[in-house]
Amino acid sequence: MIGRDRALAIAQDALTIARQRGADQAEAVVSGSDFSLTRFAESVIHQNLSRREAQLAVRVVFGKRVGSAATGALTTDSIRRTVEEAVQMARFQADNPDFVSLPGPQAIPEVETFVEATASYTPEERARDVAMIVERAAREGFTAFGSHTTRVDELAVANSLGIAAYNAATSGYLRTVIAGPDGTGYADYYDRDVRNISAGAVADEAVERAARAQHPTRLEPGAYETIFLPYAVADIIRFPGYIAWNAQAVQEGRSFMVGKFGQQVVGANISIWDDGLDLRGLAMPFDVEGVPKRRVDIIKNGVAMGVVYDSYSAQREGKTSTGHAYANRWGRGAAPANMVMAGGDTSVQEMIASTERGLLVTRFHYTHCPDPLRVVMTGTTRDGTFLIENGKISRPVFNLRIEASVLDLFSNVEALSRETKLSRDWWDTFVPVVPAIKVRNVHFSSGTEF
Amino acid sequence: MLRRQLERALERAQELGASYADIRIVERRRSAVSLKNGAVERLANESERGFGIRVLVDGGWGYVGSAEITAEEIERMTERAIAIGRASARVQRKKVELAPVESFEDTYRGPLERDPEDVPLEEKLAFLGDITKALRSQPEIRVATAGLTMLKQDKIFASTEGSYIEQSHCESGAHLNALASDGHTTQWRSFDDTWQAGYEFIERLNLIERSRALASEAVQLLKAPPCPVGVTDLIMGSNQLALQIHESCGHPIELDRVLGQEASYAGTSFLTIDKRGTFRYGSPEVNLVAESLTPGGLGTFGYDDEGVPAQRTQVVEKGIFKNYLMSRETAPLFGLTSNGTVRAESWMNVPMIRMNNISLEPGDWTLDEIIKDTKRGVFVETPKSWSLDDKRLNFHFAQEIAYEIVDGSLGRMLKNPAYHDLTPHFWNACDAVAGKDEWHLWGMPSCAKGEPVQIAHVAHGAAPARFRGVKVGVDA
Repeated sequence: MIGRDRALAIAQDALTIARQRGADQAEAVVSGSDFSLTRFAESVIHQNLSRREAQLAVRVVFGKRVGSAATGALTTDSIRRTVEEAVQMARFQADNPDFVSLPGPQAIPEVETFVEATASYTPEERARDVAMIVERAAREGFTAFGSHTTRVDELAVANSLGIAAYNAATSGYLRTVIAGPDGTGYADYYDRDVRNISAGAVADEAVERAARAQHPTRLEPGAYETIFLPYAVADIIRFPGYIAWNAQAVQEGRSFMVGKFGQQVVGANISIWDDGLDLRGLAMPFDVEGVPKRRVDIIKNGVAMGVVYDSYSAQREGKTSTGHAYANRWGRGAAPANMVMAGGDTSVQEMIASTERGLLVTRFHYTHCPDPLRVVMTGTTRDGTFLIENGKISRPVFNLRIEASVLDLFSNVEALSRETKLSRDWWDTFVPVVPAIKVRNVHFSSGTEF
Repeated sequence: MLRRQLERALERAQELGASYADIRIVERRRSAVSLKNGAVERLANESERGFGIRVLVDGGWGYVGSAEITAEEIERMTERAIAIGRASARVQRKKVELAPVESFEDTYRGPLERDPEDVPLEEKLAFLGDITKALRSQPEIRVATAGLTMLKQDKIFASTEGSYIEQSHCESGAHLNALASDGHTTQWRSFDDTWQAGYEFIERLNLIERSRALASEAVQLLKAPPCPVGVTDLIMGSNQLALQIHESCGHPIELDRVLGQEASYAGTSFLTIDKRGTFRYGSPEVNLVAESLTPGGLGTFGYDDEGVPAQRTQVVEKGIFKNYLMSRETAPLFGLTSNGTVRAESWMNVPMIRMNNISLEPGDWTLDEIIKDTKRGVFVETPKSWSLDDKRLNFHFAQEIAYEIVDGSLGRMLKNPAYHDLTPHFWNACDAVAGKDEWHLWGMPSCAKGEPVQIAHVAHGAAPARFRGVKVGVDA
């Protein structure tokens, strides 16, 4: 780990150099990651790694010109060179009339995000957990595939207006696909405290699902009443999450929320918000600009309420940031990284019992969005797709391709489970807290052969 | 000095019990500059440098990466890699064994005429300013984005088998996007291409001319009728076909996937090992190759990250599936040696099987001839969305633009095109491939695979081609 004192000292060094170079404002972000992962396939460990990385990202402001640069080396020379590069970058820019200022300091809430037991988890302990899953699978004659991750992520943000924020967060993520001779089952568990991840429970869930999934048969594509487990709901919610629920998408007319604020856009039983301080999720007290995370109601009882902002998109509308800035290899912007979807008053078992004929979908694979304005999602089901008949799971079926607008899906939700689960979507866009949902009239356009 | 440090790490790994070890030092410098609606959207430089050491101990793999290149850190990380390898060996059925490879002491340099780091930033910004002006040549264009990217990479590979290989290359890329809106709906047109080359590649792309065409098409799409839902003949432009090759050929032939090593994330493959050499993947028109030799390809290199020399592999010959992409660990399954397709994104990543340049070989038609030979159909171009099942059988692709084909001529522009099928059925429906004059090697610096996800830079060559009887249209 870099540690609070060193991370903030590096950031302050960068700010000092930027000030000496005449910058009106400057921001320095020091991030670090100690990442360990054990992957297994066919019941053996085939990849096992540990890596330590760090980055300094600098933004300097001259009037309305902003330059940025980043480095993976935290040496004195590298800090100076990176600030110089950012200064050079800013010099070549034209004024950006929409840029107002970097954000100013605000009180950062206290959130417990670091668990020593996760930070110190060893390769032997991960191997022990994997062995437990492998053995559980073997008892049924199945094989196990998956990965076990433990990590520490540090983020230090300082700017010339007085922000000086640091956080260290741990997380553990264990996932497995259990394969029988003709069918697979899935389970995972995500938590900041690796001690809450029970390899036995994950194995039991996946093995039980795999046992039910053996020897699937073809089912005609068409419209089905469908129960989506939280793994699948995470993939549904990710599309409006990254396409529509950020200010930039609204400002550019790319979001279905444009012109709809205050209006009913989905069913009245749907409420979705973003809350970086909710400990059920991967809580995080501030964003990459050092702005404290604010709860933002996005959909409340089906009504479009709001979207999330970083400082730039907020200032374009004369507002203040909601603390949702992100920066990654794909660019910068705002994103609802801590979505929560309200649960309901039922259970998956009750949903199944109340279904005359329908489908139970465990999760999706490789989902995408062919029509962003209508938030149409497509993708295939995987690792446990079942037909429900007369209130019971009657048989496993071949995987199916969904082609449906998320707005239609959320307008046709009949029931939501009381229980919610922290679930990563397929692509790792977000890790929201979501319930299982039961949806009327879900359109599946084609099928697979397994 | 550096070489001695690397050799010392390898010796240390062997002292601690490794039967094999390799170490890579990778330095990457990236820059991105983009304008949105005339204002700078992104102007950034990034650099990183680190090492990764991979050991095989007790038959299990261990890997450690660190950005701190000092003798002490290398020794510490070597010891950690050994401990991780020993933990891997606790959950093993048989020891990992590697196919043999010759040892090499060699150097590879990618093509480079005009170093993009020598091009003044003012010149790039002025050029992008002209491009975004062209992209906004229509009043309905709401968002016009243009960007240039550059990557320079230097890599040293050393192994306990005596190889010491230095490689460096430069990549240059451009992307354009014109988003049109009429207040109710939006449509966009885009262009992306990246090559292993210097700034000369950017200068040859005719980006201003392309920008005007893209803007015009985006605006026309607002009023275009939707692509109808139904079954028809599909003619695909080379850019869309490049992605089709990537997703429905490139990924299913990765042997690690076939063996389940990506099962929990990226998925497996319908091309199971019993299909090698006999399975009819496509029609006799379909010939696919994997190679790392074509100058300019993003999958071109001297040696892969296991020290295996670049080579060419016939993947599909006259429609019959012939060969996988293989590593030193997986090739022995067929009694073969690696065909040199293992790469890691950077120093921090485990090397794994990745696509190189996977291409559909040109046929003997022209696009004009294919269109004239088509009674009714749809011509589609430029990917908009893509989705495949976890065995790469069922797929769904949407495109930015389409034209109807009626009685051998291009007709009306169509918006929101899409098509879906099962992979072997689709490739068996291919009955015409255009020739080398219309063949283009498209760079794709965005191939995701692995946990944690690694982004590989790959390329796909394709010319326009026709597929009979395909389901088209968005059915939602």
